[in-house]
Amino acid sequence: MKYRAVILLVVICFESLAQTLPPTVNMSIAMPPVALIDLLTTSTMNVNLKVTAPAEAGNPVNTTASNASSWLIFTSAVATGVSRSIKGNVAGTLPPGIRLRLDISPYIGSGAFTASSCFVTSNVYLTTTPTIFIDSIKGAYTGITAGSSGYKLTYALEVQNYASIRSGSTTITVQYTIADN
Amino acid sequence: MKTCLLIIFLFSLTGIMMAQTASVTITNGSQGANWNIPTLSSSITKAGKNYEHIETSALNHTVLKVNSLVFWNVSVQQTVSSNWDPLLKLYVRRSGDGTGLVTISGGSAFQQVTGASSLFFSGLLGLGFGRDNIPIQYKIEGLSVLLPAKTYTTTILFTISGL
Repeated sequence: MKYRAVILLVVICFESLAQTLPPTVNMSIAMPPVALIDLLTTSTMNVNLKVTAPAEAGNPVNTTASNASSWLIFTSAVATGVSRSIKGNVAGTLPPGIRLRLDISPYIGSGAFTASSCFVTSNVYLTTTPTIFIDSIKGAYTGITAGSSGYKLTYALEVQNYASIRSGSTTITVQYTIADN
Repeated sequence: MKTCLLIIFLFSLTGIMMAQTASVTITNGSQGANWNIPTLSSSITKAGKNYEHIETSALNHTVLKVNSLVFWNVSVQQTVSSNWDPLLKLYVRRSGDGTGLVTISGGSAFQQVTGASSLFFSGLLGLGFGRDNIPIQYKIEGLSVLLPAKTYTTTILFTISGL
C-alpha cells in the first residue's frame, strides 16, 4: 500500500513535468496579386464626337467637341518590387486626318494608393498601339462611384492632317489594359 | 519512519512542482497549433474596391487545457516578425467555457493580439484539476490590396501564470 502511494506521487510528479511547454499557434495568410480595371460613366459608354462644318467660308472645321463622362477605376495588389501600368489603344481605324486625344484628370475619390504610386504620365493620342498613361501602380484601389471616384477621361478629336479629312462616320473601340511593367 | 519521511518529501515535491507547473496546452494537435489561410475566403470581384471581409477561424480552431493548483491567468501575445504587417490585425477570443470544475472568466470578446503580452482569461481554484476543451477562435482584420502580395506569417503564444 505504501509503495502504491509512492508510485502514485512519482507519477503525479512526472505528469506535472510533462505539461510545462507553453503552446504556440502558427498562423499564415496569403495575400494574392490583384489586377482589375473597369470604366464607369455618368452618361453612356457610347461616346459621340463630331467634327462640324464651319459656318463661314474660309474657316476650319470645328473639332472643339469633347466628352468627359467616362471614369477609369482599378484595383491592384502586387508583390514587393512589382509595378503596373495602364495602357489605352484604339481597335479599329480612325477617320483619315483625325486623331483621338485622351486627357486624364488627376485622381479623385476615397480610394487609397501605396505611397509613390499611380502617376498620370501624360495626356495621350490613342492609336492602335497601346500607350501608357498611368504608371507605377502598386497597391491601389480607386473607389467605384462614377463622377467621384477614379480618373476622369476626356476624349476629343483633333485635326492631324487637314488634307486627308473626308466626310463620313466611323465607329471605333477604345481598349484599356492593366499589366505588370 | 523512513517511509513516512519519504512520503512527506514526495508530497512536498509534488506541491512545489504543481505550483511551478501551472500549464496551458493545446489538446487538438497540429490542427489547433496552426491556422493557415492559403486562399482568402472572399476575393475582390469589382475593380475599384478593396477587400471588405474579415478572415475568421472556426469557433474551436484551437482547444486549450489549463491545469493549476489555485488560480491562474492565461496571457496571449504575438511574436514580432518581419514577415507580418501591422496593418493585419489579429484577434483572439474564447468562444466557450470548456469543461471542468474550475471557474473561468474573461476573454469571451475578441481582443487584439499584439507583441506585448496581455491577459486573455483567468480561473480560480484549480486544486490540481484542469479546465479542458476551452475553444479558441481567431480573426484577422485589415486585409488590403495596399499590402504587398505575399504570405504573411506570425506566431501566437499562450502563457500561463499562477499557482
